[in-house]
Amino acid sequence: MKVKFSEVSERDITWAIVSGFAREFEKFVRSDCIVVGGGPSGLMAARKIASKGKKALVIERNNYLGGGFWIGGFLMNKITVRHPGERILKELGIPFEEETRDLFVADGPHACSKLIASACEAGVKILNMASFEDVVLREENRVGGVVINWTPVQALPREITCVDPIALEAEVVIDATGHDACVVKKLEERGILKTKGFGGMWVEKSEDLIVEYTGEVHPGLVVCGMAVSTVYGLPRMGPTFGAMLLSGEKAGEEVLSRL
Amino acid sequence: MILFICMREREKIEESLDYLKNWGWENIYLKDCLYKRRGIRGEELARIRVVNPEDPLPNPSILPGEVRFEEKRIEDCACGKGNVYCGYRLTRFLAYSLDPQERRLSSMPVFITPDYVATWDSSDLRWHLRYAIFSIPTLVSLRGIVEAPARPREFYISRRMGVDTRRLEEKMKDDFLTHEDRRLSRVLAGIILQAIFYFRIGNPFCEDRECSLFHAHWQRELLSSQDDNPYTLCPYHRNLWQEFLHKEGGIRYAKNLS
Repeated sequence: MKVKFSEVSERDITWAIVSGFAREFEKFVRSDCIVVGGGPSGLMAARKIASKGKKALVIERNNYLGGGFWIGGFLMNKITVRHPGERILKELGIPFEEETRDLFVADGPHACSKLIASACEAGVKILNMASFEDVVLREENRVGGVVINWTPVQALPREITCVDPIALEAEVVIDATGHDACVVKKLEERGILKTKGFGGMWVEKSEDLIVEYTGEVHPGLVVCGMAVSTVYGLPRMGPTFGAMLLSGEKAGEEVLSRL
Repeated sequence: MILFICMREREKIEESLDYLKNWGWENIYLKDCLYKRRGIRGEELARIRVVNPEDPLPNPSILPGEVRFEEKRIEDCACGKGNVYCGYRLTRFLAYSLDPQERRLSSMPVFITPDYVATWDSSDLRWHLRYAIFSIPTLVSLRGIVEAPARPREFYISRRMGVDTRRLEEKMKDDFLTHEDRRLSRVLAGIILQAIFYFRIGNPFCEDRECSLFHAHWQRELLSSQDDNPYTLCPYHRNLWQEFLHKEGGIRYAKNLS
């Protein structure tokens, strides 16, 4: 097969990248919702919001999306979902098998790539390699956006990279940063609220609680996924993802009810 | 005896009442969940949720989301989601929701909840799950019956080594209860029996390992004591039981009580 690509200069390629990025970024300087963290719960939340025609932007500090959804426990790339989480697997078209009663197993890479694709197809925009630095606070400490910077800038010593961050505005911000609960922790640093840290008690029902407690934690800030565990001191979970998917979906619904 | 029950668990509870009736105790009134009473506030429940198993203060600073959760679970009848509550403080404020008639010792108020209850143990500085808190009202935790008495050591060792919990539950099903266990109703009946002795003589427990009043700390102990073989109650408590029945409803002898 003979292939001949069209001729373009380096300059054209650079223009395409710069203008393509700028065009999109400009639209998302103010979004309906900014989701901090591109793991399974964050992607589910953003997908839900974008599917209703709202502007949802995901801030992800890594180059890759999906968080721990690529891999299950002990670096083995099978992810497990307990009933009723398999509903989401079906919705996303992810093949899965029932391992034991009400416990489902799927291929991590397949599941994760399907979720990312589904979020993008719903209209979610992604800003990867960008790290959350701070919150934008409005009247009565309502969260009105986030302050971000490029991840490599944050990763280098400050003497080398004295680069100021920028702020993005949103009606609602979602903290989907996992156990770190980075956004909520910023409010805690200011004495606005106090998190409880994730608990040590192991009970069968911890997944239910993650979903149940998903919601607004402070005006303008919704929390989902494992960040919920840190905020409310809920029992930690094993490598099972049903709660992440359902918590993200619930956070999306919560945001939509506020827009 | 007044049993305040979770209507979602009604079937399971009624099965255990059949045991009590079979033992001759028929004076039981069922009432709806105590959380449904007016005056029970989400904020109070959020404040007594045990957040850290190593902190004696259950929940020093509450968030609005926690209050919302508690209010919603009362409204939707959605208890038993896995939260743990301070048993003593829960009984204390539930006592205020009882009317004066219900609060009497002779009314024997028992609240059967699907939630976990725990007490702080100052000897090892940790919260411990309990299957019951004997007080007015007495609290019986359905999930606590399954998870408060420890499972056999082999279970925890195997689980730590990565053996699947479900497989272990299947393999060791004779050694401990699970949430959908058919033996649960008989065990619950024995715990209600403990509550009756608490209300009548102030002590719900017996040192005899075969007596249903035995205070079990292990699932194996619980299952062997909550068994009618060799007897339901030890001879001493069986005599007391006959006295209770006599006072309760004239001359009535314990039916089928071994």
